Amino acid sequence: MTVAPAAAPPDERMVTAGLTRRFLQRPELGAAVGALAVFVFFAAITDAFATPSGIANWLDAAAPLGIMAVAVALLMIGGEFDLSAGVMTATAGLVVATLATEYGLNVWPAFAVAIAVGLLVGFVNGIVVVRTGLPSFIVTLGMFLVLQGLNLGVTKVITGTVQVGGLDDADGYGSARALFATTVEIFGADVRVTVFWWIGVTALATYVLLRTRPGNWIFAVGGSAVAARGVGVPAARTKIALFMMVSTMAALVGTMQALRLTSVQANSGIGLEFEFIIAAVIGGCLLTGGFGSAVGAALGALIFGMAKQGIVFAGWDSDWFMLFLGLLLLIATLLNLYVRKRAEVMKR
Amino acid sequence: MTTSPTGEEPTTALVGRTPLLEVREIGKSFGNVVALDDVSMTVRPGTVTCVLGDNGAGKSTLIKILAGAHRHDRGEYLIDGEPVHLNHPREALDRGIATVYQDLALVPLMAIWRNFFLGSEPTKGWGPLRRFDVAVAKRTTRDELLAMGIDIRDPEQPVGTLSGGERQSVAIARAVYFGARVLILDEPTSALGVKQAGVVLRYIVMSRDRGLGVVFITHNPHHAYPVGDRFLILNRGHSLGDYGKAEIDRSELTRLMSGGAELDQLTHELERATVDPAG
Amino acid sequence: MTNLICVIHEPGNIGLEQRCEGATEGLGGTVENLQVDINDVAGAQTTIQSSLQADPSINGVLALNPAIGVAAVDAVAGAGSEAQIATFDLSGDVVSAIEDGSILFAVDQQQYLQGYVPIVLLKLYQENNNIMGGGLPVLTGPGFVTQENAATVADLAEAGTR
Repeated sequence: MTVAPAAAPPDERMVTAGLTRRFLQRPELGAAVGALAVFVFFAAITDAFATPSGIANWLDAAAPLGIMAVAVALLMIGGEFDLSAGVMTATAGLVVATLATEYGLNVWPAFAVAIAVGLLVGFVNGIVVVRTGLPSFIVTLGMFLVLQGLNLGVTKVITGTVQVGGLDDADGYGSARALFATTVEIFGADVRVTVFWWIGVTALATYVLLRTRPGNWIFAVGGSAVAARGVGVPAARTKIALFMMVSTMAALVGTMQALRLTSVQANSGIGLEFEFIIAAVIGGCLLTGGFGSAVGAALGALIFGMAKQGIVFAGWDSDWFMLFLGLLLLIATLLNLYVRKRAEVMKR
Repeated sequence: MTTSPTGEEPTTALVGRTPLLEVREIGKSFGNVVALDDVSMTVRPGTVTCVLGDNGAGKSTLIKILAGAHRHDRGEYLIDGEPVHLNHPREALDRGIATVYQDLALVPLMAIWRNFFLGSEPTKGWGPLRRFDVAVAKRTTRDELLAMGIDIRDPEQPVGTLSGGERQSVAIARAVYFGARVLILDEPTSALGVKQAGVVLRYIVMSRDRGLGVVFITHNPHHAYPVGDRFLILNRGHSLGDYGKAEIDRSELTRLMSGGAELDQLTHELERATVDPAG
Repeated sequence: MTNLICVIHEPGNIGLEQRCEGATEGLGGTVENLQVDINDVAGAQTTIQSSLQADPSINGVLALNPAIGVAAVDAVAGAGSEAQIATFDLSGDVVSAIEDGSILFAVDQQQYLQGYVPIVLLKLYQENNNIMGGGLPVLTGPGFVTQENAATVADLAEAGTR
């Protein structure tokens, strides 16, 4: 790329190298390879893993994680973290369950309230990060603790116990369950509806990231907020919108889980926030922001789900589960790194 | 030559018409510190005005006033002959004054075409289906850079993989494309090696030839002299003079920049100091 | 009952490990421990279901927590298994499940008594120097809740006192 006719390599070689390199540079590549490897591995060493019902099973495990991983990935590409996302799912579930069982509200308006709570929590996260300039890690950690306390405290005050049950007796339960929590039979296996929601969310997120203006802004704001502001990108609004999106998705997933289980534990969701981030990182998202992909995060969640259930299918001692999971994730992330390093050509 | 998207005809050889930009006895203070005082300068289309001075001379304060990031305290700032008081860089941008700062406002991890249209993305469709017209963006990026003499075979390349000079050229090409009439470049060659600096100077000349007024800030007189039409030298917030190319030569320029009379006196003192001990 | 899975919902909890050991000793058949996370009940359900799908010879699931017990009901149904379920501790949903037969029985340690009785015993000791049980431990359970007596505790379990 020079003005003067310097000693440049021939055109044809640049083109082919460019195409292969561009393919290898895609953030999803590592996750795709990883997912394939994990699938082949468990399909080979077990009987039930690759059957329709086995597949439905690990898809079921991956789906709620997948929806959140995609949301969190978008936020990470935008350069921020949300450690309150896990507990937010519990908060939303508790809101729906409490309103429906203790106050007799129909499930649908209760769901609307949960969404509103999600928007509010996200807005607070966003505005505090943007106004104070504090790292989002700290701000959302604070929100995590606040929500954790509220979940437990408010549930205790209202129901006297640490869980809210009996959601299946509420009005509107049937229709809500049909949309969010039921199963559909495919090839003789019961596939949960959350899987389709997951696919839809991933497709929408990919479209927004790669083919819309706000998507361009997300990459810019994560890559260099200063540069983005310099060319007139509304950096503050973009970040706040991302936080609100994550909390609202958490509200959706929390409601789905509540409808499925018909009860919500007040202390659930703790620890999930790191699973979301791990899935996003496996999927190619940089912790520093500005790079990543929604499809990659979805594949990361898939690896998680496959590994979790694969270990059970293989009959391995479940005491070693955490160790296996940790090793698997380490390998997947290193593979990611290796693939991208090979693809990068730094010009001086 | 291609026309800019604002539809203005390219202008050349328009010396004699109203200057695009003019500052008259402009001054700015921050509290007790006088950053700039009694500085005057004009920028005409199709010319390069170099602003020279060592560190602390007040160059960055001057650009920030021109770019709309600071308000001037004294004197006048005229755009197209009319006095203005700018409150926000966006106002300068809207009047066609584009500033390329040292950080270039480029995002290293993003592709060239994404950077090129950042903040001003072309769209197709409307309502909820309004999307980023990627095909137009890629094609236009390639074409515009080609018009500046740069051939990128792969607009997907992340900007971070380009060399310093190439990145400068992308930033300049972007400003030119989006209808800049005045291009203010803040020390574009300072971090570059000789060859790369040469490349950037070529782009400056190309922008000038497209009819823009270029304000080239630098502390290197050897970069400034070949491309400049007018030279403004600043020293500690004051103007040491505003010269046309015909009125000054390179060595005089260097001398003025490094303190002029002061340097003469310092040299004189040093000579005496080295003579004495031997005597 | 020959092949049982014992679902531990909190890794490292000695009490839960001991319950599973007790089940192993008492059952006489095979008992496998299965790790799940109480913070992710839906995930626990999927894990139990995978376990049942991977080994169709499992005919019993022992849960150590009411939420896990209820999840086990869905897991067994989802896997198309004939396994029977028992759990520790009660909740409104667990009692309903016992009433309709999807859970075989629940072991109620009667936590209400664990809080109430010691206070009474202390007061009596304080005022009247009474010692109950001859110095031996006074057990609050187990209170077995089966289909026969489930109806009597249903409302109490809902309110949280049983």
